[in-house]
Amino acid sequence: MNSFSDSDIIEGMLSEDDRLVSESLKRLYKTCGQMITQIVCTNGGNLHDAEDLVQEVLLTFRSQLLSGKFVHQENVRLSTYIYRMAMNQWITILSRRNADTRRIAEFFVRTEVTDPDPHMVFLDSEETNTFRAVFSKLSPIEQELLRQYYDSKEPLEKIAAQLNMKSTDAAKMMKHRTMLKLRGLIKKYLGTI
Amino acid sequence: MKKPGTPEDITDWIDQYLSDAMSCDERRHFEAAVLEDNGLAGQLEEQAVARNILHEVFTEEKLRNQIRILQRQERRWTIYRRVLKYAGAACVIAVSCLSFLLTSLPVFPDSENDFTVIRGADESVMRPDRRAVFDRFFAGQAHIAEGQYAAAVGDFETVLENQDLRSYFREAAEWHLVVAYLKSGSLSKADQLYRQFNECQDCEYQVSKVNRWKIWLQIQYSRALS
Repeated sequence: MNSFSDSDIIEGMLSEDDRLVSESLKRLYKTCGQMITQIVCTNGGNLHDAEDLVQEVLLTFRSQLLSGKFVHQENVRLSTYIYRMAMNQWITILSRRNADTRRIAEFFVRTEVTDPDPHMVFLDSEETNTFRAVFSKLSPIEQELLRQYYDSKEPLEKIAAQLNMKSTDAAKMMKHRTMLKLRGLIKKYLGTI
Repeated sequence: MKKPGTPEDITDWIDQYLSDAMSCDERRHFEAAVLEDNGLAGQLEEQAVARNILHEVFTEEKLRNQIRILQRQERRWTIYRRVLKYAGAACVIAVSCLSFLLTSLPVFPDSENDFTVIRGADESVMRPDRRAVFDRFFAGQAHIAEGQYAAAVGDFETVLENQDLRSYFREAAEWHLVVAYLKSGSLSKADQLYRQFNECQDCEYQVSKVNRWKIWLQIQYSRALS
């Protein structure tokens, strides 16, 4: 387990194999979770904030990897990069919370932050958040139907039974309507279609 | 395979194509239909984008859940380590206290120099038989301090054979005899004498609760081992 290098983690995260992605994420969490928690807890946050930030940072890092925005350099450790991401994001959160400006200034001085625009680092995260926001516009039953059909690959017969629908045709009709609705939402909020 | 007639079947048809669930012939027919029908091509594109977004959302959900599980495990592990640390410290303290209570001798009032035992008695005019009793008492104390418990038992038993002892002096000798019995291995005698004192309400020779408890514990511990 300890033989996992930064390159192995990156390779695993980019893999199509869910097991490898999961193992790499676990490795990354073991490497960086404690460090991010410390950044938050020593700078005005609590354990709950730290846990949220760990989730955001690790998932954003994955998005950056997938979109090619992160380029691995042999002389820069992954943990260093993630440390910077976590710091920038925590500063953003503190600013958003209208936190004590003196405390933020002290934090800047202490950590010698030099990134010109910390918000840029989180563009990928915001994109993912938008996807999630669009998806959340669907009703819970619609979300569940799409989750079971497209993610769990369950047949429509089983989905109809699980969601208490009258028939398979009703499930098929609902799937069609939900996809239409989703396409409409994507057009409205993302404008990419 | 012909293009399906109803919109829901068309959505399903596109899903089959995007999920790679078609045979070669079906794929060929589908792709031909897409080339002929701009509406179908548009729907294919939209559905592909929607499915990619869904895939991204579901993957993110799963990874987030995985991180939450790791965080939960870590929280549990932190609590477990903390409990273990405190339990360990408590055990060390308990063992230290217990070993102190089990090995150290009880401390009696003025045990270093028991002047109160002979209070009121003028040593210069003391009768030789009374002086002998006092000397025996101090000899017993010295034997206990030196670890000669059998000799101490003899000393205190001799002291207690005397009938006209003040109650304070008698009780002092009896407490010392309990310890001498205990240390010399006469556990039942020690226990019997200890019980007699434990029920005593108006004793003059005051032995603290901690020391009483220490004697009781040592008797029980020695009995359990024997």
